[in-house]
Amino acid sequence: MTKNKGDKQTIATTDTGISRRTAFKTAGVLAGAAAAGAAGAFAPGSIIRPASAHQGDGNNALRIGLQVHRTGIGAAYGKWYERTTNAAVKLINGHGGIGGRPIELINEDDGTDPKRGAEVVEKFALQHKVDFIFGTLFSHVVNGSAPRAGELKVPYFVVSEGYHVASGSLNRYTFQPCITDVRSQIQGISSWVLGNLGKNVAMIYPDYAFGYNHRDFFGAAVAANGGTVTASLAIPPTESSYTKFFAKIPSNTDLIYHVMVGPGVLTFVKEMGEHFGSNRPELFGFMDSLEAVDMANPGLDYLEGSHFWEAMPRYAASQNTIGANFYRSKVGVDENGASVDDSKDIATFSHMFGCWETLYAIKQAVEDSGYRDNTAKDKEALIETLENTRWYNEGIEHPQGHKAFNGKLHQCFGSQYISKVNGGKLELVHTTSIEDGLYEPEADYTKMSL
Amino acid sequence: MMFLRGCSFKGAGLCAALLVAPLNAALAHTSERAFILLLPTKLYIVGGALAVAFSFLVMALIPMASLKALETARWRLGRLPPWRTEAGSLISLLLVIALLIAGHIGSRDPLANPLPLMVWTIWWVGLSLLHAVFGNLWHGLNPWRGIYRLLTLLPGLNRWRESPPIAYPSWLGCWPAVVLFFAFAWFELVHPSPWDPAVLANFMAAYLAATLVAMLAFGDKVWLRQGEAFSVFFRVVSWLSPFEIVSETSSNVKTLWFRPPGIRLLKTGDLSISGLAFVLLALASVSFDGFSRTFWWLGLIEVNPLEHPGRTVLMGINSLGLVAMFCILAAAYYGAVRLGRAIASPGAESGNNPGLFVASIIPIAFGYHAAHYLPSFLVEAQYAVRALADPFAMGWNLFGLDDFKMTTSLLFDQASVTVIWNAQVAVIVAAHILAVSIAHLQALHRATDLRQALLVQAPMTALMIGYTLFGLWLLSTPVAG
Repeated sequence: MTKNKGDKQTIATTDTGISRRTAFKTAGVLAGAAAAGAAGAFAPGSIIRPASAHQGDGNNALRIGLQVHRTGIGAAYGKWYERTTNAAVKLINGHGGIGGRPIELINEDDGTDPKRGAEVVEKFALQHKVDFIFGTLFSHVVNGSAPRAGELKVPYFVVSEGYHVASGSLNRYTFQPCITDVRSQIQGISSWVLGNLGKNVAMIYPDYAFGYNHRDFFGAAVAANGGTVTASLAIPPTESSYTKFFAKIPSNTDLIYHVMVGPGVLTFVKEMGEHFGSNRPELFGFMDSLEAVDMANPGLDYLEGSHFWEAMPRYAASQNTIGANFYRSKVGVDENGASVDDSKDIATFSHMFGCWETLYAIKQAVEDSGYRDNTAKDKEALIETLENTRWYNEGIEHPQGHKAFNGKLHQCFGSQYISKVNGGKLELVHTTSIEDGLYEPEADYTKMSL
Repeated sequence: MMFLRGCSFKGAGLCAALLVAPLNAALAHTSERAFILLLPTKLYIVGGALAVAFSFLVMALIPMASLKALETARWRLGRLPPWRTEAGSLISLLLVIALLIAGHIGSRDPLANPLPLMVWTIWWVGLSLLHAVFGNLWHGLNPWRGIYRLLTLLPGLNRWRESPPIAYPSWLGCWPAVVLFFAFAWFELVHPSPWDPAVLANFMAAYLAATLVAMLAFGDKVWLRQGEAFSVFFRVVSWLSPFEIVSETSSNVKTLWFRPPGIRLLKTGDLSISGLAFVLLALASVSFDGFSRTFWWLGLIEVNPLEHPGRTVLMGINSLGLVAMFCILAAAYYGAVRLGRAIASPGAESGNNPGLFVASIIPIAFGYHAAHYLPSFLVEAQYAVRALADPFAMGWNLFGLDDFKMTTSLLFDQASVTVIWNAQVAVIVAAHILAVSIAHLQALHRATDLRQALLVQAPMTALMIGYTLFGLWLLSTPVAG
């Protein structure tokens, strides 16, 4: 039975995917396997409670605001963030909700606009009176919105992969519990990339903050691994022709590290092919460049044999786990990373798992902290519970993989995936360890007042 | 052409209108550009401009007798049964009220709530397209005519139908429509959240109420003819339609005729300054919708398109940009008219006839409107169908659409994007060729011979060729936002 109230969603379902909830309080390994059909991942120490039969009513629902980039430059992501969120809400509500209360999801479009983001946060807090807000992706919108959440003392969960949370620049109410930040991502993959693809690296990146993160963090990794940056090419964001930049890459370059984004990406690949032909250096890129783009599109064949970072493998064959397969089926994504309704509608698979996992992180925090009411006391207890969390186990609730959580940084750290383009598809060739991506913390939110 | 009378146009006495663009641009405008950039767009752009230039030469070679025959050609399709527009209007009003309610109590998601989709996609884009094909549907579908009729049946108000309490000043011309259309364009292109269901519902409710008040004050006929922006807009678009309804003077009988598409533009006559401003504003607004998203413009105003700051912080500069676009277009248009007169009749007193070629601008404005919105329309129309199935977010499934599969990937696939791009180019080029043709016929009407007609038309033709280049560039250059 589905009662769809549009953005206000109270859904009960007869899905049989999960028969119990799991909650992981401490580090652990994925030990249990889901018994047949139950598809649950149970870890030692899990608190296992039967699903509540009580679905709740509108009065006792847990109100969660989804701040979604429905319009603006983030719209392609927003569509899939919403779809993933809806799938998770349906599943959670179908199995008793959170602490016996159904989730009532309220969507608000922020237009991928930082100022509107702050307004949406205010609307969620003061008008909709939500318990929590989550889902923001674009870093500049996070930076524009999170301060208002802090002022209004609403727990704010971002799904952004930006370094903003871990940098300490935000506030005690803002968390990024289920997607690794870009600094950790880059550090995590660097040793494998430099050890296997070459140490003389030319870096091509867009000439703004996103690109500078890659320039600085990977550049540091190159130096730390005894490599050399043969060229550091910052491409103006408005540039639409790239050949002149390729000409600046020295012949002794082993590897081109590229992180281009925007509508020029396909042209970038095409011109790279025209410039280098078959005699090219190794290529390593970030999936941010090709999220929602079908690898089978003409022109992308030049990427055959090159490598990409993925936060979560797009192709099912690369991550054949119970959790990942279950997640994929519930969101409606086929084995090639496309919508089951439209084989050319490619998901933003490397990012959207964060919505699913964040809802489960919220669920765990609510249930472990005993959160009941939208009060300062309960919210403070929830925040302290989150800050004491150390680990999320891989499984149905966290299909991307295990995650360590640093309560001082409000940031998680997970494994990263390196895939190779083979036959027009991405094949997993390496999975980093969580330790590969850990860095020395530079912040401690727990010292801030609540 | 009775319905055109009275809008302070000279000649036929009409008002003009024009075109704008929807906003959500954000939704789908950028996605297909990555694939378009892989196409030989420069060849398309140059080829399109050459085709328009060539059409100028072809028109010059067509015998005047043939052109005359084209102007008067029409084929009778049959009589139309008598009908009253009030019924359609009342149905429209009920639909609008339902949508306003949905705007407030339905989903907050602009792609799940039917209000923004029905307004920005189905009405603004879809209904405009239908007007260009079938004629002035808005005349019978506007939501005010029926309620006005009912209200003026009430005691005390019934006299207002024949004798409105306030006489509409003739000097106002179409300026109320111009001002309201600018406000609409600003809301669509500059306001931070025109797709927000509640925000849109509030704006709509205010406009609906204000229009009804204005109709009661000034009378329905004059306000819908000269003051209500969309009645003017849709009427102007309808001049492109090959279908014409003619009322027989001696009876209430209406006859439907088929005419060469666009030929009815010749009946607009010279426009008043306000009518001219309306048409140019329409072209300026739809052009600015495309232009304001280009990397070129964003670079000029020092905005990183890859980290677009959102519409809020750009409100000031985009407001200026919209006004500047109008001023530049108006100056270019006026300059072309003046230059044409100067070279065609050296020494003659420069004309005070700036509306000479304005009818030929209408196909350009509409052509860009259609091409610009085509990609987003193909996707958002599907969202609209889905939203209408559950307009109030009550879990309804009105159309049994459980198996309705949306196909949004057509903007992410090289093959489908190529098809869409070719359709866009075809629309732009066809619109400009029609514009050149209409301008030629207008010039012939006033010139003493073919040579003079070609001279007076030449600068405007050059401007149209330039606009072909500009329009195709807008559709192919990288955009964001």
